[in-house]
Amino acid sequence: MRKQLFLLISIGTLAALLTGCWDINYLTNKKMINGISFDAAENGLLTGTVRSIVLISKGGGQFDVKDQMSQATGDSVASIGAKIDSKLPGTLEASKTHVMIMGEELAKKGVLDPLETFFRSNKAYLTSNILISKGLASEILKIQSAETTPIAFSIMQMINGAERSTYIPEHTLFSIWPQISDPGEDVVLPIVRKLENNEIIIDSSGLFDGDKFTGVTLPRNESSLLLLLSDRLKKLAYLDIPVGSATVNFDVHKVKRKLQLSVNEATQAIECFIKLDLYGNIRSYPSKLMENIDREKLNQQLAESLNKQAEVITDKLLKANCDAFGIGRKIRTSYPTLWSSVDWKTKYKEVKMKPEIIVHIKSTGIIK
Amino acid sequence: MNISITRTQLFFLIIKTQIGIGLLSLPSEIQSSAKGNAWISVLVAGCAIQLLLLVYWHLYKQYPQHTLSQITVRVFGAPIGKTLNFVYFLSFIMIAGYACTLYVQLVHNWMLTLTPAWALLLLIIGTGIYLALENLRVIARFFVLASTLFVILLLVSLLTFTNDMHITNLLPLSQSGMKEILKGSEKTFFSLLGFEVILFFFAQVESSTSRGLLGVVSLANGFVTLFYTYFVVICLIGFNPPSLEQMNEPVLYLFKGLTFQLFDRLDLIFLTIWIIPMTATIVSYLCIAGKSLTTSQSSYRKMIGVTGGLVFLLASYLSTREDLKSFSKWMEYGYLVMIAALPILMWSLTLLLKNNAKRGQA
Repeated sequence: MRKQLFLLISIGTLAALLTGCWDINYLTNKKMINGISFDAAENGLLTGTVRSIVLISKGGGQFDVKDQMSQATGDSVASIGAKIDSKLPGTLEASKTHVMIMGEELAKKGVLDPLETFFRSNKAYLTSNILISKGLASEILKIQSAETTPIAFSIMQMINGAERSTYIPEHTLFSIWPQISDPGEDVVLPIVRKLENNEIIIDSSGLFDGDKFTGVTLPRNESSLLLLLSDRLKKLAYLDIPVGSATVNFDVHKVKRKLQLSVNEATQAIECFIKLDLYGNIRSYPSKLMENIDREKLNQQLAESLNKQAEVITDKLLKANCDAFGIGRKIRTSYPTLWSSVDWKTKYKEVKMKPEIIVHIKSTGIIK
Repeated sequence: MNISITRTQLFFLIIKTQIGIGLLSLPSEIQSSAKGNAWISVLVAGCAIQLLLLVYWHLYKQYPQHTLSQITVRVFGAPIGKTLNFVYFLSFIMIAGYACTLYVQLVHNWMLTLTPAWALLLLIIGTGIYLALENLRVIARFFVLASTLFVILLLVSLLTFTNDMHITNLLPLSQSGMKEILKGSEKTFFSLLGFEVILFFFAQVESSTSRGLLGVVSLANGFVTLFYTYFVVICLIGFNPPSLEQMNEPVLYLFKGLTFQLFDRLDLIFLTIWIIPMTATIVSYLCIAGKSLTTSQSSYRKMIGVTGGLVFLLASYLSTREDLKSFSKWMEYGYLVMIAALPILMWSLTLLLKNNAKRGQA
């Protein structure tokens, strides 16, 4: 019994004394980063810009959250990190980085290489949102937001809102790695750009070919439709659909999608049929205030207009060589012999896409 | 040492010993050879273990109420039997030391990068000894209690389905042949180690006369195999082949992508819980190492202290080595001889001896 007590006490004291002896990290000694951007610099170097949080005590246990910007250029993300670390008080910590922005030029060279260190580190925050910026990414982070909240938080909120209404794809650092490295699927990432009057906007998405940004972008409406075609509706999707001279605003609540491949093994011709049923209601149809909407007719007109848009999208996808629907993945699983006999990157361009959209108006709001 | 355990406790003793550190890295290891068919490899390995369990069971039926160390003496006679027991003792220390090293590496890689190995080892082995000093019933009770954690782990693992999952990664079945699958099974087999403890624990199960024992053991094996298969499958569908191959511990990596209002970094939470099954494995090995050389409780307790010290020394040496590959290969096959080849040999020998005896009588 005495022996046990001795063991218990010694283990207890050891555990109490030893834990955190070596790996202790005080929050006060850390410099938390909440936004990072990377740009391609001259001579193959990288420029990294970070926004780090500064807490200013207002007294009474309340804090004002401010942020501070630092920039450095180096040959790898880790060396940039070290340089910035020497500029700032406290140890640099990317363990709560909510936003990561890649400059357009860098993204065209490939996004995985700069991100590698984040996948490798055990401290990195893999659920951070990743964006591509039109122009320099540091320009986006440099913007001082009008409110007192740090810019990275504002960007994060914008992303969350945009994801909810299905006009940019939902992606984190964690989800892009498997998707980019899969030869049978390509990724689509949101694009942030700076407007004239020091405002930023996230309303389009950029197509990738492997880990390289192709430069082809989809504006808001097309981006939204692409997500619907890939069966990725979040809460809602707002579509602006031109009908004749007017524009109908249609809210999508529910989708049913069917993606079917028809493959001719002899000629290796691949056809991809995407049948998309959209269910939703009319949000606005200007000039129809004084008359009833003919649902049947409008269904037809909307579908016709959307089909045109869908063709524009699929053309862009093929031109950019971006397999956003994961057709390659389907070929790999269902037609393994075909998959192993072709080079998918070149074969993908020959795929015939046949989108077919059907619109079901469930409601026209509280008027007819 | 006539303190007995119930069959339920035996069940938990087995699953707790089997499920350990091996699982975390298993999916990427099998994936590298068996590709999307990795889950079949796990099932095949489970079947192989079931066959081995049958051998154990038949061996035990020949010598009821005997532990392995008593059986070796009965089969080979005192000098050879005792030597063999000493070899068993050494091999259990090897495997416990190796498990501790992997454990320390894991904690280094994922959580405490700067903490020196000896501090971690001291904590792991210290706790292990503290529990292993008790009689088997106490150990079993703790294992039963700690098994509730598996329920939590399973529930947490369900959350990973909020990631992008591609069930099609499992297809087509033709992506790897029988040879690759078997190669994967071989790797799985070594991470399923731990079932051999029954050679020692059978003897302490109460009313161990009926066939129920075999049922319990098979059930435990079935449970562990399915548990492993499940985790391999969620890794296979959660990642794609090229990225899965790059990861050291895909099971933990899977949780890195999850975020919730209240929780972040589920990988760390998962690992913290997982430490308990990992320690339980070491407790079991300490316990059977002690039992392989001693029979009375008082000498057993002394033995545990010695064993713990040896495991500590071995693990501290191993964790200074740069590469464990050559050691692990050598150790795994040596261990395979001890837990598969030798019991099979003993079983066939007893059959022969028995037949001879019968013929002599006639």
